[in-house]
Amino acid sequence: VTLSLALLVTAVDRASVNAALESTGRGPGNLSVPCSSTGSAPATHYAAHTWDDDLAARCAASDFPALLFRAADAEASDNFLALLSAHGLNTVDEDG
Amino acid sequence: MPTRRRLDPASLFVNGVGGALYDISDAASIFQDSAGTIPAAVNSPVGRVLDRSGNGNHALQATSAARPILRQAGAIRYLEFDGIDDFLRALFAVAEPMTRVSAIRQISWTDSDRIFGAGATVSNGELIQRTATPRMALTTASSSATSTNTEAPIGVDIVVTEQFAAAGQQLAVNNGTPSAGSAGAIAPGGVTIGANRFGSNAGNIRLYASCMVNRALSAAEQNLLRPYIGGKAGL
Repeated sequence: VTLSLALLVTAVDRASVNAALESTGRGPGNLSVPCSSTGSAPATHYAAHTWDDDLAARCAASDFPALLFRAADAEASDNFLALLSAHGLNTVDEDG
Repeated sequence: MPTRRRLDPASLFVNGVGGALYDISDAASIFQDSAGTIPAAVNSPVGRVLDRSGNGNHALQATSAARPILRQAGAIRYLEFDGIDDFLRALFAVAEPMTRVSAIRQISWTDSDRIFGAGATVSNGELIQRTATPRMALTTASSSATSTNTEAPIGVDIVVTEQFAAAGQQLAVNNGTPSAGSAGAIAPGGVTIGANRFGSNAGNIRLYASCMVNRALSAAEQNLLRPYIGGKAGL
């Protein structure tokens, strides 16, 4: 594994994309981090970060059309924030 | 020449004492998948860490994107949690008194992010980044009921000793004097390594080893356990 892979999907497409990823053996609920333009609820998008070169290749091949992504040889947090910034988003705090 | 006593951490769990022992240096206890069928590999995600306490409280992550990654620096192996969505979880009964000794590194600091969150039910019995960088604290009745607020350096490997007891909490970094906090019952229902019980407030940390014992360890036991756990980080 060499690339940091940041993922983003709209709230509307979240369930279908998570189901599609689960069908590839990646488990449930991969897109789990709520995001919005203000950083407050309700979430308009959901994001994730992973190290998965196979998934990066499949994203590049548009296997998951609704999934926005950014693959980079970078620190996880830098790559993740770059993807969110490109779409004007912030994470929504869900302190428990 | 006197012989320094050595500790077998499994001995802390005799007579049915609950808890968990996670040792990332033990290659045979780490797997890429949560089912434990694919041995872990450096620079690949980890979905299962076996509990070496004998209690069977293995730490799991079934979701691919939420798995920490196994890293290696020299001979030292550790799990790196990305601070975004990574965590491992084990669900089991925990009550005070509870003592946890861990070798970790805070890679970065964000208020309310967890190093160790609760497993389920309520947010207590946690080690949390709190108040102001680079401080950490323990939680009792809720995530906001923190005390024993202690400085812990960022970007440096440390050994953290947490003790939750009826008489009060104690939190120590390395061999420093423990800071004392108010008493408060805990029932975290296990442990979530690197996030809270909802899988959010993910901490950006390294984990080398953690020994979580469901009893109050004596000062002598802690003094033996700290170097054992710290040794997993080369300390």
